Amino acid sequence: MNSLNFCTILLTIFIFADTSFGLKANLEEHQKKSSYSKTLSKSLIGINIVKNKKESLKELDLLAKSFIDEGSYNRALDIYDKILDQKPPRKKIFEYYVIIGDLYNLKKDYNLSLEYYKKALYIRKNNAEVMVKIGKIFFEGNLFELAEKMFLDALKIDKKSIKANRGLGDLFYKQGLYAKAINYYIKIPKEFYEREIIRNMADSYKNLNKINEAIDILEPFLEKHIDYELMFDMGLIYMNMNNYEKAKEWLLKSLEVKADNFKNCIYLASLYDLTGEHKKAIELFNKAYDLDSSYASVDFMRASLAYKAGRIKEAKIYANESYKKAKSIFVKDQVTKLIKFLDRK
Amino acid sequence: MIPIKSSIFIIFVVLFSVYPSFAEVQGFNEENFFIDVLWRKAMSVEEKQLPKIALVLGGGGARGFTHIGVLKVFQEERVPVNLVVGTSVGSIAGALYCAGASLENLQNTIKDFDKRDISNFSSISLLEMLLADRLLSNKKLENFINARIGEVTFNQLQIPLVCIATDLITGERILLREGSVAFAARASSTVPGVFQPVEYNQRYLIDGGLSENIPVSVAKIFKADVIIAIPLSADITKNSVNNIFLTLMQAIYIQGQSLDQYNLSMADVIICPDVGDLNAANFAGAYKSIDKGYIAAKKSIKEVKIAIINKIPERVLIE
Repeated sequence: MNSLNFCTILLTIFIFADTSFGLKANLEEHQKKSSYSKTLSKSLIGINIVKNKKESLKELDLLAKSFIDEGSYNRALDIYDKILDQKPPRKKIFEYYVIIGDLYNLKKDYNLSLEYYKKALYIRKNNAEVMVKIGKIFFEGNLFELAEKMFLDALKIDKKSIKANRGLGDLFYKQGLYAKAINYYIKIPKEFYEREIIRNMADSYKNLNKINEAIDILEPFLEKHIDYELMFDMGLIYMNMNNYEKAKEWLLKSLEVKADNFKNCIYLASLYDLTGEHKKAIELFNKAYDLDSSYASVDFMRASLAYKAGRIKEAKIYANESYKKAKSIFVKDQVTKLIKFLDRK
Repeated sequence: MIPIKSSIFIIFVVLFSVYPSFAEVQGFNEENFFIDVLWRKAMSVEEKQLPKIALVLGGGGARGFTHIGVLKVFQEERVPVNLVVGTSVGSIAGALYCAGASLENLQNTIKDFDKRDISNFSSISLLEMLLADRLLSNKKLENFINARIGEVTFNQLQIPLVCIATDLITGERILLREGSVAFAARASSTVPGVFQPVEYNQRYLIDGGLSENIPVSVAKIFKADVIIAIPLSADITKNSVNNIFLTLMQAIYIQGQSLDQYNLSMADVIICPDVGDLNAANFAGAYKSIDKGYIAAKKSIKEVKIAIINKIPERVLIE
């Protein structure tokens, strides 16, 4: 080795010493978990290989990503700090800020997340994706007006932004502004409809009394997927339409998928009660009771059914049981009314 | 090999830890279920078995757009309304609602609403007002209402309506419930000192807000069982009082506020949209308050249903 090469090595060691020593502790522990990072860290610890800055950044970047894949966000953040210390190119800095923002977001440290997204936005003022990310943070913090502004700004730049439209849809849905939520959800191409979008849209239509639209959005999804929750939602939609036969059909389908769904049992039972199928109603209320006996509503409904069948004594027992379990004032008031009514019989 | 005692212990632990998942109770809100079941029953019985439900729509100038949002929720939730009592802008909203005007269309058409749509407001008329002591006219308000519901009279309305006005001479509260609906709504909204009083049966009528801005007591007179009040009161703490005129105005607001509070104490449900900081005279962008009304009503709808269910005799709900 000639003296020039030796000097180069020394200089390289000097430049990367801080990086490598800082990383050493992390890396040694990390080696046990990841074979990839093991190989990588070996090469970084033994700084005997000459690398230029670009290569080193690349390796650090890979290491950080491997930490992210493992869910070791703090370690990944440490690495990104080191990367930023090395003053990477401006284009890369933007990317790192976004990643760091994402990591803090995953850690639910929204203040720091916001700080890095803002730094990223300072570099690229017209980046719709970062605007959406900031909007989402505001949304999570219930800062609806700020979130709306960020999503709308993103839409100004990227008129078809799926994420911005989704963000606005979610934002208005959460606020109960269903018509507005729908206005943005429908701008998302159908192939990007996720289950939650479908559920929110159906619920929005239901709340707006646009029942047919709610069905139209749920039905195609349920033709392809078995989803007991959406089947239950479908049942409730038909209940709202007073189409009790269809409602029963969907609630039964949902119950076939998940037989131990207490909520479904009790709603279907109440539907049977409403349509005069008392035997089926009793069976289902009994099943609901077996699943969870802590609810006043089951005993209340059993008391009401027993009364209708002329079994006053049994009705009184159920009503008293219901009173013991009633938790809210409204429920207690209704049970009290029932008890007084039965006492007069 | 696991010892027998340990095995039994493990089985117990597994059984007890698994048990809660047997019942899918996540997301089950018992109160909502009760309301749902009882509401469904209530809506399936004859109307005469239900309590008489009254909406009381308060005055508040430009804040009145909020009523549209509230009324939309009542339409969506199919809450049966048997009476509407309105003061000032509450009378206008009530007239449109009781006549069956499409709230959706209304919301879309009033985005560009301007003072000139309901009055002869202009620089010339303002100059006349200042120099010749001639007040503005709100005759155009009648045209505005008629254009949306036709020239209907009170007995043609789908839902009975009472508009509140004030007699400028005697200070009496006047209940308008016959003749032209648009005329009554106009009389009820005639802001004193700005618009010319409206002549009616040898009386000079001005804004109902002067005598009763949130007329719950009127709903009581008409024997409503469930009264839902929607006040649009200003947040008087934000008013400026740094000159004689503003101080006098503040005094009027304070006086009105205690009457409002008395009235509101008689309501079964109060829906309070967050519009206290909106200026009653600022119509530009006021349509945005529709959302505030909608949100407030959505939040209160459970309370509304509870109030109605509570007034239904148990015999109707159980049998």
